[in-house]
Amino acid sequence: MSNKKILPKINSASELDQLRKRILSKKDPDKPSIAICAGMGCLSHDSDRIIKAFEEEIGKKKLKGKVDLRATGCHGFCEKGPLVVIHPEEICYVEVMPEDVPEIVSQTVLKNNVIDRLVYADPDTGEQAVHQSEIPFYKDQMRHLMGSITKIDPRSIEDYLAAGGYSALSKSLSEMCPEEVLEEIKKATLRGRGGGGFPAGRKWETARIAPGKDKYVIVNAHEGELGAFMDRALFTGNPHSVLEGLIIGGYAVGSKQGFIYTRHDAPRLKKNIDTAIAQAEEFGFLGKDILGSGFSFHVEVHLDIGIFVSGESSALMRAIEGNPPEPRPKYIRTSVKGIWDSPSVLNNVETWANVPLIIDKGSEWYTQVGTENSKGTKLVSLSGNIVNTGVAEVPFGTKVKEIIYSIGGGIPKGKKLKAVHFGGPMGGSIPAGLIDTPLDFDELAKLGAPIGAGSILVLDEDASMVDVTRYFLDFLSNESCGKCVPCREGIRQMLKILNNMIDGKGREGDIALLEEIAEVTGAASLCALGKTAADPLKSTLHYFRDEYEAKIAEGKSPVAKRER
Amino acid sequence: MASGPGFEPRILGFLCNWCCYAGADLAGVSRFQYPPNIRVIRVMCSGRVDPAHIFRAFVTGLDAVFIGGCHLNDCHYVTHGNYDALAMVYICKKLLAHIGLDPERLRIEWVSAGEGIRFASIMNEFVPAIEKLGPLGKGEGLDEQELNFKLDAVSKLIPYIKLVQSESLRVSVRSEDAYNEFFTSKDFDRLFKESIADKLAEIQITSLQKEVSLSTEKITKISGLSPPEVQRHLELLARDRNVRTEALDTESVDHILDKYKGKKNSLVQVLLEIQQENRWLPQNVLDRISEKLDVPLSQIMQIVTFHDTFCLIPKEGNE
Repeated sequence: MSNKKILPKINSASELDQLRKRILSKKDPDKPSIAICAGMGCLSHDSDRIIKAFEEEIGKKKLKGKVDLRATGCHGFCEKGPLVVIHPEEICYVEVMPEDVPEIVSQTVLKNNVIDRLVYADPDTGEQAVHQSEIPFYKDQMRHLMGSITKIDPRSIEDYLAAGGYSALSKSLSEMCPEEVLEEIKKATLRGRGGGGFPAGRKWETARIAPGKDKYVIVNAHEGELGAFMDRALFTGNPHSVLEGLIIGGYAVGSKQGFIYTRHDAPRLKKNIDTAIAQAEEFGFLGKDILGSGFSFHVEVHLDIGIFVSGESSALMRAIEGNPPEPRPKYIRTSVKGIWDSPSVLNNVETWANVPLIIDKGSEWYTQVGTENSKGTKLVSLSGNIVNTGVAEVPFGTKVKEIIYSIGGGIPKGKKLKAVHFGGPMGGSIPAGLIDTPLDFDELAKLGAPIGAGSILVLDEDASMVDVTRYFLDFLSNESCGKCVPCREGIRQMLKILNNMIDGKGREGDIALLEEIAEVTGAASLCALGKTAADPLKSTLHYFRDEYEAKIAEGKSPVAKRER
Repeated sequence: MASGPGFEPRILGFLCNWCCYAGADLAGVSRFQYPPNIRVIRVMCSGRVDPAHIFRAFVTGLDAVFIGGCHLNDCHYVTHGNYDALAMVYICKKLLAHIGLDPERLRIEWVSAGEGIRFASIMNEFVPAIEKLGPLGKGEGLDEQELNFKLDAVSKLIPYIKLVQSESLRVSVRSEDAYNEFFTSKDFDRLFKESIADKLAEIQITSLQKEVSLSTEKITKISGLSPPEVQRHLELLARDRNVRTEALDTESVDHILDKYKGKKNSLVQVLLEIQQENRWLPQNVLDRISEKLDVPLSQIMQIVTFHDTFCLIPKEGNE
């Protein structure tokens, strides 16, 4: 799929511009191109068979060279996968089967006819939406980070360059000094997307001024949170954007070495990252003297050993050093003493992917979107009792209601919404009555449901909040590393009480006991896992206390047990 | 077989620091007479003695092994290690008998710190008994090659035996009667045959087959197993061929290590890659990694036991 090799290793910003022009001049904007989603959801629906079918069909019809074919990252609309988008018209087909491929090629690609049967139709009104941007799921999104995914083959650096890639890096290196890059990020008030929402600019600055010869920047691509799959979608689909952000971050912080920490059980992601790094090295975006600026930067990929806590910052850094992933007390921040006690900046995938955008378009442009304290867009993954599961990107300030009803398509089977759970096993729930709250770090945290990494679990009227909480605690009790007692024992005891309650063996005073254990576990645990383990419990106790009381009183919840 | 004139048995003793060692000391101080054939290794508890120690003693040609501990229920540790020693001795005796050596060559006794006289009288009884048995192997009519082959097979099996012991050969009640009852029961015989004896035969056959493909008769002759038994094991082995019991060779481990240029912090990555390729992490591989990356084995063990991503026992090839 890639074009002929164009001479690699770019030595200056102007050379990059020339190369980009050459790539663009070769691209005919009217040339049909087919983007097949190869995200996790679509792959599980055999989208690789569809890719093969397209390859065969194009070969059969002798269209090689006349039609571009791309296996892209996740398009986001996982509910209706496998998805196929045909440019330049941006015709979007949903639930495509391999048998549909010959028809798509002969009708849509060659003759520009739309095949009605494959077009998205609104389940309520039956109204059809031919183009991707007309589908309700996409209509209300603001796809700054995910928008180019259908135009990029994750394994092709040229696709990324054609979409304007690495221009932010070239701008930083040739026109800005590291302080200016840092200042721009601070002005954009970019906040960490991994859960805490800590301002990235401040973190970078701390590391920049902290003493130490070696400094490190790290991508946290661990994403162990239950129900969160957007980082994986973004990183697999557009690895260069994250890599570019990391290099810019390295330049701003004064680091020569970056790390990418990801999961050992995501082979496709690992492959795409490895390819992206190799290409970036070949083109001179990584290595010594990047773009002739004198700045050198290298990246290493590290894999986890499959435990949730290794996504915690200090545990992650211990793992990169080659030690077991155990958290350490953080009296001194990791941005001052991280890997090998050197200043280390850790941000998650989405945060890094925002960096090139900010540098490229400026902080003023960036801060136009969002609320007062949360700027830009946020990737959210929708799951649970919702019509459209998938990955969506919305501006901060979007009301939770809009995300669930406009983008998510509401609750299936005409059921009523009961609660929305944010942030996975360490997050919290808000009841249906509060869904007018805007998506915002601080607003949601005030309600006891911090946004976390952005996983949104929608629960309908049949769900039992006690069961949901039990499920999360069960997960955490298996994932606690066991180093500190409050976390290890606290979670286990809370789980035990909940199990008893669900088995109809709840006792008077259990709720008070739960609250007490939750408080101690939160106050005394070493790392964020233990500190926030009781958050789902606390928020459900706050909003749905009657369910717990009913469990104790009747030995069962007022609603029927949710079917699993 | 009668022993030659002037046969002086060489005996190794493992004596517990708190009881038997002090007892032997007392015997010496009190000038009790006993034959000087025993060489003593002091251990903190008789429970520390491992089957590997015992068979290593026999491999190096010693004629008998003696283990002395505190009286049962008098162990100086809450773990009651002497019960573990007792169980271990029962299993090792069974193994000795199984490979054709006299189980009397291994003896365990309880001697307290005050029983110097008891230690001396046990030695006065044990040494002549071994003298009567004759040198190791020769006394039982085994030739040297056969003896070495069998001891070698057992040594290889020891990690496996420990696994079986902890899983199915455990006695739930810590009392002398319960131990004696279990280890003399038919149940134990059956378990021993099903798990350990079969595995031992398998190891013998595989190590014989490794050099050249041998006929059933030949295997029968060397291993001392009956022809139908050999046949059964050959069939079993053919069926289990996809079980990777053989460890990766050093070269392929080095190849993976070289990719990471021997960087210490690549430890997890190296382990993951080997786990993926081999599906489990054999001891020799861990040793090699420890040596090449200059990382202590304890640190490696800490990582591989941290989560169930890693596996330390053989796993089926295709899952």
